[in-house]
Amino acid sequence: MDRIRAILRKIRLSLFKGAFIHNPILTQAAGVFAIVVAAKSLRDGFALALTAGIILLVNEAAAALLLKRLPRWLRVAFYALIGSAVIYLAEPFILPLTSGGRVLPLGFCLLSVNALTVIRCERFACKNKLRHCIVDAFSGAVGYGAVALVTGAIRELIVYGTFFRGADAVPLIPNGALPFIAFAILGFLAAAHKAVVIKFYPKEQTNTFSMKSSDEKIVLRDPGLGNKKKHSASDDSDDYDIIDLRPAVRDIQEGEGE
Amino acid sequence: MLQIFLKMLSVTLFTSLIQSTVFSGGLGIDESIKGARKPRYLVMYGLWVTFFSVTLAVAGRFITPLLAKITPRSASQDFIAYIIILVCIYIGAAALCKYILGASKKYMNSLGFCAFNSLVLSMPVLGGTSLSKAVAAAIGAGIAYILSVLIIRGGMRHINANKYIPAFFRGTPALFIYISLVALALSGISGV
Amino acid sequence: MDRGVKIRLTDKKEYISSNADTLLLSAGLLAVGFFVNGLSALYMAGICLLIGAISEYICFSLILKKKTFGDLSAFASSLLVAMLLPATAPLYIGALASAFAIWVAKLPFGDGRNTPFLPAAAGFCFVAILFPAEVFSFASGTTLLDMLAEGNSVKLNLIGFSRLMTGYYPGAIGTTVSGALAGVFLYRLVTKPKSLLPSLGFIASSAIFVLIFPRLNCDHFTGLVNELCAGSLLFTALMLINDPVTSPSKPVRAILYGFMGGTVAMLLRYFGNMYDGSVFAVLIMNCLWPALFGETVSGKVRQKKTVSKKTEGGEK
Repeated sequence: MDRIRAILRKIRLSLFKGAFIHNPILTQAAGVFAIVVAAKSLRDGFALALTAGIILLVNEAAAALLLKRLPRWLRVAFYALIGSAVIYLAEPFILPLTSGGRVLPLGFCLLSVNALTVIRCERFACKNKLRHCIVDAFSGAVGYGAVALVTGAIRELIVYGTFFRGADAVPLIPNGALPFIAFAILGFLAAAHKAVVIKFYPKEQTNTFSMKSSDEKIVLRDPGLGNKKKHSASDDSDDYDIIDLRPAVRDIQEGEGE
Repeated sequence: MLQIFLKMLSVTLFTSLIQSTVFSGGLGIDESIKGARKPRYLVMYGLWVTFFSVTLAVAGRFITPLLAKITPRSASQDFIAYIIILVCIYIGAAALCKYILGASKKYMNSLGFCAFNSLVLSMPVLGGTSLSKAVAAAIGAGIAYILSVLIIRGGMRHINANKYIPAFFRGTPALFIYISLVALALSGISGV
Repeated sequence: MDRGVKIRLTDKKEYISSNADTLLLSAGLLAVGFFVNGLSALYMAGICLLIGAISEYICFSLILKKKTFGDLSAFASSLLVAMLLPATAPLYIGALASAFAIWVAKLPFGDGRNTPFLPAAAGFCFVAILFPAEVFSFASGTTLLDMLAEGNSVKLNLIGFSRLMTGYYPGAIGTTVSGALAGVFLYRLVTKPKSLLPSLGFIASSAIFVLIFPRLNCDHFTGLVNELCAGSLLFTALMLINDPVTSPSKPVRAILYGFMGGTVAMLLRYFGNMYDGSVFAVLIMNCLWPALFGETVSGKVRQKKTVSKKTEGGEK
C-alpha cells in the first residue's frame, strides 16, 4: 500500500514538474506556432489543447512501443504520419469545439508536425517505458493545454471582448488576433511563470533554454555530407536538447523503487 | 518568359518580406528559434527547407484538384495526402544523402526538422493559384526562414549578452517579447 | 573557438542628456502643435505623460526596484508618442501607446539604456496596427500624404511654402509643422552635431529615392520638398532614428543605419499598405541591423575570439 502511495506521489510530482515547472512552451518554446496560429479564442485554445494532447499521447506511446527500433531520421516521418492520422480521426469531435465550427483551421491541420511531439518523443519516449511515457505525455499535454487556454482567452478578450464566444461575436479590434499579440502574451506568461519558479521552486530553476551557441559563426560548409565523423563541438549536442527530461523519469523510477 | 520570371520574383519577395510567413504568420517559428540557437549551418538548413517547400508546393499543386473530387472533403484529409507526399520526398532525399552522399548521423537528424515543420507543410495551402506562383512562394518561404533565423539570432545574442535583463525575463520570456516586437515591425510592411 | 559577446550600456550622462534634449524639443513641438491643434494636443500629451509615468513607476520602482525617473526616459518616450498621434485621436490611444512602450518595449530588457527597440516607436506602431482608423484620421482637410498619393503637390510659392512650414495640412501633433522641425535640426546641429549623422543618412536616402523614382508631376525640387514634409518622415529623421541607444555610435555605421532606414521608409511609403510607414522603418531597422551586421545595442558590442577569465569575471 505504501509503495503504491509512494508511486502515486511521485507520479503527481512528475506531472507537476512536467506540466508546470518545465512547461513545454514557457520554458522550451516548443509548439509555439500552433498557439500563435490557432489559439485565437478560448474555444480554439481548448480544442487545440485537446488535439495536441491526443497527438502527443499517441505518438509517445508509439515511440515507446515500436518506433524506438527505427533509426531517428525515419522516426520523425512516422511522428508526422501518426499526427495527421490522429487529426483526421479526431476531426469530427474537434470541429464543433472550434470557433467557426465548419472547416478545421489551418493551425490544427499543421499540428501533425508540432515540434513539441518530436522533442518529447525523441528526448523521452524513445528511451523509456510506456508507463513513464504516458505520465510524460499527460504532463506535457496539460502544460501545453493550459498555455493554449490562457493565450486563447486573453486574445479573445482583446479581439472580441467576450469569453468563450469566439468567432461568433463581432470583433472589436480585428487586428488584435495578429501573431505579435500572441507572442507578447506568451512572453509575459513565461515571465510570470519564471518569477513563480524563482520564488517558490528555486532549486528546480534550470537553464532550460540555452542561447549560448547563437553566437557561433554561420558557415557555408556542409557539415555532414561525406564527412561522417568530423563535427564541431556544438554539433555533438542533440538536435532536440532544449530540456533534459531525465529528472522527471528518475522521480518515477525512485517511486517504483520504494 | 520574362513576365513569368518577374511575376515569380514579385511573389517570392511578397512571401519572404511582405507576407513574412514566419513572423506575421507564425509558421515555422519553432524551427526558426531552434535554427537561431545553432545557426552554424543555417545556409544548408535554409536550402533544405526551400527544397522541401518547393517540392511539396509543386506536388500539392497537382494533388489538390484530385483531392477536391473526394466527397465529403475535409481539411485534415488533404493534409494526410500532403504528409504522405512529404514523407515520400523526405525518404527519397534522406536515402540519397545517407546511401549515396554518405551523410553523417547528425546530418540525417537535421534533415527531419527541415522537412517536417509548419512552414513547409503549409505550402500547398498558401502557395498560390498557379504553379509558378506556388514555386515562387515556396522559395520565398525558404528565404523568410533564413531571414527569420538571422533576426531571432540577433535577438538571442542581445538577450544572451545583456546582464541587465530582469531575472524573470531572462531567456524564453525576453525572446518571446523580442519576436513580438519584430512581428509588430514587420506588420507595418503588410499593413494589416 | 569560443566567442564572447558583451554589451556595454549607453553612457548614463549621454543618455540623460539625450532624453533631456528629446523632452525639450518635443515640448517645443508640442507648443507649436498647441497653436495649430488647440487644447486637444495638450490633453493628448498630458495623458501620454501620465500613463507613461505610472507605467514607469509600476515597472521599474515597484517591480524591478530601480530608480529610473531621473533619466527622464519615460517622459521623453511618452511625449514622443504623443507627438506622433493626431490631436483628434481618442485619449485611450495615447494611453495604450505609452503603456505599451514602457511595459513591452522597455521593461523586459531591464534598462532604458539597452533596449533593442525604440520604446516610443514600438508604442506608436502598436496603436497604428490595432487602431489604424483612429491613428490615421486627422482633422478636416486633405493631408499632404493623401495629396501626394493622388499625384498632387504643393507649389513652392510663398503661400505653398508657408503652408508647409506652418502646419496648414492636417497630421500628427508634432509632425506637420516643418518650420519647427527645421528648428529641431538647427538645435541638434548646434548642440550635438554627431547625433545628426543617422538623420542625415535618413534624409539623404529618402531624397535620393524621391529623385530616382519621382511620383509627382512637378519639378524635382518641389517633389522632394513635398515628399520630405509629408507624413512623419522628417520627425522620424530628426527625433527617432538618431536615438543614441538603438542607433550605432560609429559615424560611418550611423550614416549607413540612417540611410537604410530612409530607404525602408520610402519603400513603405511607395509600396506598403500602411498609411504612414516612417516610424515602422525605425522598428524594422532596430531588428534588421543586429541581424545583418551582428551588432546589438548601440553598436557597442565587443566580440572577442576567446573569452578571457577577466571578461567572464566582469560579466558575472
